[in-house]
Amino acid sequence: MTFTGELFDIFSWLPAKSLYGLSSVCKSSKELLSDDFFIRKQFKNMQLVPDRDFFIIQKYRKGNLESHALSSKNSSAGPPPESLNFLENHGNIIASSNGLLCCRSIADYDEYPLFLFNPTTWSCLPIPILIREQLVFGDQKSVSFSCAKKKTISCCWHYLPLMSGGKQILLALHCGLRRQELQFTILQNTKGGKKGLGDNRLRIFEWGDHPNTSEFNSICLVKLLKNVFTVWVLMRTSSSYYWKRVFRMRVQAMALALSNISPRSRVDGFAVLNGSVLIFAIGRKVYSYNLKDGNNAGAGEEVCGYGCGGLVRFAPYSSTLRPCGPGAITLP
Amino acid sequence: MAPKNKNPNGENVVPEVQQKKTQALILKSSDGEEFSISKSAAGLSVAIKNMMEDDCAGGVIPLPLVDGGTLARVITYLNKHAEDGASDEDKRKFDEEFLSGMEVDVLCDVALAGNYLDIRGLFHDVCQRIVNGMKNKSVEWVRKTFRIESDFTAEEEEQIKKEYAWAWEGVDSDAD
Repeated sequence: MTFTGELFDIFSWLPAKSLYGLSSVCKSSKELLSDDFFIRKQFKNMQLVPDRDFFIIQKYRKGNLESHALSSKNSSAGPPPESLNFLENHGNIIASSNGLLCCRSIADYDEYPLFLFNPTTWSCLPIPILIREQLVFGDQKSVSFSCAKKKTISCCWHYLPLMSGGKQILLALHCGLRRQELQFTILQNTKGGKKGLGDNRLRIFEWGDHPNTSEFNSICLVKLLKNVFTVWVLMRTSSSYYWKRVFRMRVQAMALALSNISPRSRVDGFAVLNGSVLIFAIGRKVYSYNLKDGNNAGAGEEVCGYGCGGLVRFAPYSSTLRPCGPGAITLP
Repeated sequence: MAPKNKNPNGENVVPEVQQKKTQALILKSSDGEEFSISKSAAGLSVAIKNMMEDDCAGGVIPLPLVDGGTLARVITYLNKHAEDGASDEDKRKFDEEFLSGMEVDVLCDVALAGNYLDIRGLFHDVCQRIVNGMKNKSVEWVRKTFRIESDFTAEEEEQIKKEYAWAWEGVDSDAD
């Protein structure tokens, strides 16, 4: 087998962390890390497999974050500790996709309040923002962005769902330069959705089998009220949209391992990752629950413990070689 | 008028098509073993399909880079994927079982054959399967498994290991 043949393909399915680890195999394996064709193949392949890791970020406090593997069966393919240090001091992760983190500068009056960052390769791209008011979202708002499937990063678009006045607005930014607006007046249409609004217990996430690749995926709305999770999925008919409830369960019932959790414990944060896995933090531990498995008791798993206190947020992470795009700089 | 048969859905099938499907082709492995395969199954390999279209096959196609054991496995895969009425779910289940029993050296042989015969689906699945088996494996393991000679000096190798020390967390030691 050669690095111009089969090994090129085999290695392109490895997370970037493993590629750095195996770069001492021979000169050809090291050269892959700077081969444009290989880099593109690697980050595209990583879009076809589920994200393996996640960040857990303390809310309302700058610079407190950790990186963990999403399944206790996998070792972490998280970024180098230097990147975590960098993020602690410079950027608050507000969203992530295909190995890139969309961060908000920690400095209050930065020229570029937003930047993209690949914590594995140290590639960084400041995003010019035309209208500063776009940045009214804080830690508590639901924000996501995604790298488009077939396009290069220069066409990457980010959509920032902003919650205001009971309406959900998906705002798409083309690297901050071009905007498209899509409006969903979802909350009016979701039975029971309005209840719980205003205490940050209502969030929107991507939903579907291949959340990183399909442009036709849906979104889901997750409500947490009195320690009960309820999940609705946006369904499409030929002419309209409607919301379908797909899941409802008490936190304590979601896994046998959780049975020893006090009924008075509070869920400190939750998210849906990989289009179907609900993860949540309670009692300084993170649990995952596969929503596609419905009410099956085996669908839950204890993922890890964590040190951040108070309320937390989650951001998925996949270790890729994806560059941030034209104009990106490599941090020293 | 030619007689018509009915398939399980009760639809009429034109015998001409049926005949083409059952037409056999002989594939000859590097160690001289001969395998019979239907043209429709063989056509899933882009390389064999091109040879059939160029009509350079002459009924027997020699495959000097694929040994008999590997070719038998590839043919099992092609037959399943060319099977009438096999749903995507069936094929997915078959692929899972088909690959799960293979050791990494067998997977490497199937990957080589899949790439050589240009069977993209098989090649992609096998690559992913090999990568799953590479989790936490050491540099020495990778060199041994893929028969790669190191062209680094000991100093160069040490330098790279130092530079990317973070990437070694959780990786087996070379002795494992």
